[in-house]
Amino acid sequence: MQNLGNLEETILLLVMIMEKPYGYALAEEYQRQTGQSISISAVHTVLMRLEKKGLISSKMAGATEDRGGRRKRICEPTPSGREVIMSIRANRMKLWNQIPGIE
Amino acid sequence: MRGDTRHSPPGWLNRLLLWFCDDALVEEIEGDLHEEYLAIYRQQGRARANRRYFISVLKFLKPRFMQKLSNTQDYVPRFGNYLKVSLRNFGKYKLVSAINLVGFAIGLAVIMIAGEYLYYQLSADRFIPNSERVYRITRGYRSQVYANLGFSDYYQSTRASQLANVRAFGQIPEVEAVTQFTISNSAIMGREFFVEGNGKRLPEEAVLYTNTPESFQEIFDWPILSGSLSGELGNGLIITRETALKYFGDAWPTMAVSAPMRVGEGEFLVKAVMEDIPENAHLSFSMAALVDSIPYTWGAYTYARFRPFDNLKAMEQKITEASYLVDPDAEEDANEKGLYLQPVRDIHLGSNHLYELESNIDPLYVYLFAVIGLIMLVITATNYINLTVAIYANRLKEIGVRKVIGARKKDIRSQFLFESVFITFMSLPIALLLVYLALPAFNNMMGLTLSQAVVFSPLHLGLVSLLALLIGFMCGIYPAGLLAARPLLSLFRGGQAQKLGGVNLRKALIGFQFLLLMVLSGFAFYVNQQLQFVQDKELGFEKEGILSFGLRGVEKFNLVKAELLKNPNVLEVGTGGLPGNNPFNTVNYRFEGIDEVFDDGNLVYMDLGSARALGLESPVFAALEQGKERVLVLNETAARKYEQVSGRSRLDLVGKNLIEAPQAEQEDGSFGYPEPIDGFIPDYHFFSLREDYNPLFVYVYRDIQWAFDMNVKINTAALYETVDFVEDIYYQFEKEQPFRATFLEDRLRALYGSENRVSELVAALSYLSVFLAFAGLVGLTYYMARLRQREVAIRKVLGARIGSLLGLMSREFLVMALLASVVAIPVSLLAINYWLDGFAFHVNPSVFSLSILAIAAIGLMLLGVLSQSYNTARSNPVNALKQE
Repeated sequence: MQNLGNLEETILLLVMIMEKPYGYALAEEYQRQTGQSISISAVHTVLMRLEKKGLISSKMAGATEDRGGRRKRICEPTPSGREVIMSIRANRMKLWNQIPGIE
Repeated sequence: MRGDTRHSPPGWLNRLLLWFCDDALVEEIEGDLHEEYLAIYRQQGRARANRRYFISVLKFLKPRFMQKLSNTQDYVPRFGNYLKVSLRNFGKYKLVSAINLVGFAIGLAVIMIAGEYLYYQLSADRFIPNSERVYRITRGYRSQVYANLGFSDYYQSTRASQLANVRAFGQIPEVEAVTQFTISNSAIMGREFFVEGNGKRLPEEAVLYTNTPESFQEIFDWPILSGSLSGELGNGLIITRETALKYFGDAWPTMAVSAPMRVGEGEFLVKAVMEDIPENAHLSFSMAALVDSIPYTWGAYTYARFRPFDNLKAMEQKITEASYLVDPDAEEDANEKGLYLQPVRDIHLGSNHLYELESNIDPLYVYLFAVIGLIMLVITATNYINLTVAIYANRLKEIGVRKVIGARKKDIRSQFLFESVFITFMSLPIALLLVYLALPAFNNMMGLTLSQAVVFSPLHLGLVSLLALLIGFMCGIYPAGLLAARPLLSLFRGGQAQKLGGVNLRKALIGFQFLLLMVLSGFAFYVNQQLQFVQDKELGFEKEGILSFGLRGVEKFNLVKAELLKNPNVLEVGTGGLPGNNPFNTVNYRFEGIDEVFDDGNLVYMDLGSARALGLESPVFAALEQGKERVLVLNETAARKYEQVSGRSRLDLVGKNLIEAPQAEQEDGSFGYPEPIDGFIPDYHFFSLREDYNPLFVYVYRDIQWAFDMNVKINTAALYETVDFVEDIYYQFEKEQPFRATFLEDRLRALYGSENRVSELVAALSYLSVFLAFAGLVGLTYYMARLRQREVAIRKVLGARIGSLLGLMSREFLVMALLASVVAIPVSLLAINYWLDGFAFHVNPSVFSLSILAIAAIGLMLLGVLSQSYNTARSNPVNALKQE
């Protein structure tokens, strides 16, 4: 079982939620979902870590005019990424369910 | 696209980003930042966008996003340059390069031949279609397994009784086809025929008879070259291409089919010519006679192809039950163990039932060769690693310069990997040449026919190239990694003579090499000793000058005997009881007065002539000369067995009965066949030395009533002319059966055929390994001594004597060799004892002899080390010291 930081977990979740996620779009979505801002370099750092851990894979594609014709690194969760997320959820639920008075 | 500068971030920030950011990452980062810039620009204006862009760019100023410093230079690996440098170094270090080249060539050649050999042995009988579903049906009886099935009425069999089993098996739904056949030279037929065809009359050893030709062809699917196997097959003949060529010459394609041929006393028509049988098949024959019923035999080899099934045991049960329907008596027989299904692919490798069609190769010997091939490869690889690491110490500056120019670790690594792969590929043509030259000798030695066409086929060559690539890669990994990992500055520090790391690994490799050599040579030594022992052992009978050959019929026997005895050089003539056998079927017996039944005895029949020829002695033989018809003598082992179970003296047995087959009920209601015991003879080796002595019940007749063979003792002073004389007399009386005579000594030697081959092979490969390892060691010490030139010179100046210098330089090797010997001696003892366990009678390997062997090996090694160190130790120290 791999250890995931809080930010890593959130970004990985966002990668799974979004269609064709990439650095800037993830930063935007992070802000929209959590209300906190995040720098693009932080998102890139996290994505590099996740990729190194084998939880996401990525490919270069999808140049747009807004990017000055540069391609995006589009990410995609790997099966083991999905597995890690599921097991985190399961662990959390196990603990949640033990809190007295909460259904 | 980038045209609209008003919507672009500040140029200097972008240039900064481009400068520090890793080339691989810059595109996505620039893109994201640009997108962010535009979004803020649209919402909050240029100033804020610019400020934000500045901060965002600065946040990327982290090592992980930055260009790796070494990457800032353009170092392009150039394989042309690698090649040039490699060739120069080969020229510079001629000794090492030669050792490596020759070593790899020999190692590759041995591995190639070993691989082909393995392939040849393991692919045996795969030519049979669906061979995984083809089984030979064997029978368990007493504690033995018969490779064949007997007919229920043995020699009196008819077509119907022969086919009874086949038909019964055919009723089983999973059985697709069943065939049975017997080959004339098998133990259950034991004949040879003259074959006439196209005006020629030649002896044929291996004529196959089958009464089920359709399924015979269906199961084995022999490729038919000419003619066909349709229509009426009775009294047809299938001959192999080689046989067709022998009888009909080059015109066989037109002449052979439909030609009449006479096999022994039977007339046949050639129906088809088939391709020669693959050499590694477990059966071979020169022609197959398609007959109504198989002649001259009491049983046949039975093969069946099944539809896929799960449970072998259940299927064997079905087959066994089917056979009991045919022969209900068998089910009642207490000795009967049922039928077994033996996968046809398992026969060639080590099947050792009674009456095998061929003596099958022991898998141990197949794998042994592969193991020795690997050992040689390890020795070669070890040489390479040691030698390259030693000479690379002189190439540190080259690596340093490459690194300064910008070579990364992986560039250095790939350069040295390239060199090791390059040298293995240089050795490949030499290896192929060696294989080409050695293959005929190897075939000759091992009694095989590995064909050049297969060995040098594109597929096999491709595999060998792949192997060379792999070996080169494996050998290169360590030196390449070692050099690449070296810190830059240390490459330039000090003079030329630098120690390169891995002294411990080098020691370990030398020790390991020495260990392999010790084990290999120890094994080779004792294989040789054992075979010498087998050769020299007193067998308990006389083996010199005894010539044996098949001769059927007691009338012919007596006529030939009378003629032979007229020649004074013919000393004795007899029949039966020839020693030098592989185990054959045992008999159940009990001693009179004791109820326990044993099944480990063998019956031996011979006449007095044979007993005299073999020099077997017993006082009771005198009774034969005084007119007694027959005596039964027990060997020492049988006598001792009686003493053990009865607690009485063996002399009690004389006059009592030996009861054979005590379960068999006689017509008069008694059980077994009682035979009165007359006396005893000493133990002698009736079987090979693999077998321990077992109880033998030897019947000696004054005049035997039947004969299958003749044993003639010849005066060894006139051996050859007497053999010719015997042959002449033989052909006067026997015209149908070819004269095939062997000397008993050759027959005994043939018992250890595969051992003799293994011994030769192991010996040859150990010599090669010792040579390779010695060459490697000499090369290594040569360079090591040169590396230590200055150290030696300084010691000398300070007053060290040559002797102590030599000790200094050889100590490292000596310690490793001693350590390796300590490990090697028990390991080789283990290996040798494992092999010797196959012999009931064997030499006893001793730690002492192995130690002597180790000392000799260490002596040889020291000789190599000292020869190289001596020059250095003796040289004028001034020469070494003035270098700088």
